[in-house]
Amino acid sequence: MHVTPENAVYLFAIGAGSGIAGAILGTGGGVFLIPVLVLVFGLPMHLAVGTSILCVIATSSAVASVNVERGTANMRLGMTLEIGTSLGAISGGLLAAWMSAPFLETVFAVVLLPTAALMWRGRTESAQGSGVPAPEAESTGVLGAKFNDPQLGCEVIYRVQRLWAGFGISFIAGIMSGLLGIGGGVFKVPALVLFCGVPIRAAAATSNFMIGVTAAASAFLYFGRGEVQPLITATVVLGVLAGSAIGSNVNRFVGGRILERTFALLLLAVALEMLIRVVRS
Amino acid sequence: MAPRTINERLGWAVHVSLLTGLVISGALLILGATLRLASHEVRPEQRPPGVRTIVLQAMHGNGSAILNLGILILMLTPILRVLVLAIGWLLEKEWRFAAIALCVLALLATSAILGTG
Repeated sequence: MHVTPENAVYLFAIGAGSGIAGAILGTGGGVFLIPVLVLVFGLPMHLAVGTSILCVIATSSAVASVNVERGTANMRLGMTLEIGTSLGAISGGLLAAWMSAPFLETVFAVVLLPTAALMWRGRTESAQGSGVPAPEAESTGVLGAKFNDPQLGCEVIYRVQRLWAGFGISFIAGIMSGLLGIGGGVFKVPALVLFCGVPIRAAAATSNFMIGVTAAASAFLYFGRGEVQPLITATVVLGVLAGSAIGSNVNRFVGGRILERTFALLLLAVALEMLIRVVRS
Repeated sequence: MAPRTINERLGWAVHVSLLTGLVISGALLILGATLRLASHEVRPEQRPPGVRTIVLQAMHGNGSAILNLGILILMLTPILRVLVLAIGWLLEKEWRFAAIALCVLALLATSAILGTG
């Protein structure tokens, strides 16, 4: 694909749109970006994944830099689980080289279906039922932590349970990241809350903290294979960064169930479109 | 106010390392993209050259090399964050987490060597 100044503007706008959607819905934005690059711009699937992985690194670094300073992201838990996500991402990145574009598109479309279902339910509702903070008298354990929750207006203290489950989910999320260029937060956040007992704010911040390293683990493989096209990637990354900044400022005004459900339906339609495209080809 | 606890100090160091990586890579991406678009150069995209070649060409103002350098620095930004935490935990004698961070670094180094080596 030859990038002219005109379609550079379109690519920037697509990146910005994905960044806004990602910031509002709490995802990395890859689930929106990849279908547009493939279906609208005709980019081969592997190049779209390579571009998306770089966007995930950019958004994760921008958001994590704020979350670690606020103390919401649990760095010890995140680093421990990064062993699983990095292993998964390297496996996914290596596997992707052996997969044909139609097969990869099919896997992506199939993964979009549960993503749409989780988005339809809403992140908070999907993660309800756990995330019980430890009583103040209890120790946080080696991996637990405490942070100030401005919505609750108090300090939340929690312990981490069932680390093995978090590790397993992280490994699977890593494979999906390396294979499909998505952050995988839509699966990881509910799992951290439901299985490991991490409060949802800390789970979301820790997941975001992790996805930059996860994406970096496979980014080198895509870069080395020539599947990161510099000009396309630069334009989209800059758009995503601008969109994330806008989205994180407007999400308090426009967030809500209707928006989540609209995007969920959109993802469902995109998944079906990609499946139809694969069948036709 | 300066951060006081171990977590606050590490959080601040990670914050600075991530922002530094983002600012440098962002500036290079903007510069490289501007040069490439202004040159109206139709360049068939291919496998990138080695890191040394990229750095040398970037220093001579080559738009594509500057873009590749920006992308490399963006990919290195999360790795810098892992390195900062590994050093921080080593200095704080938190051996368990320092060892975990070094394991993650080893995995990332493996991927970097597989990709660009």
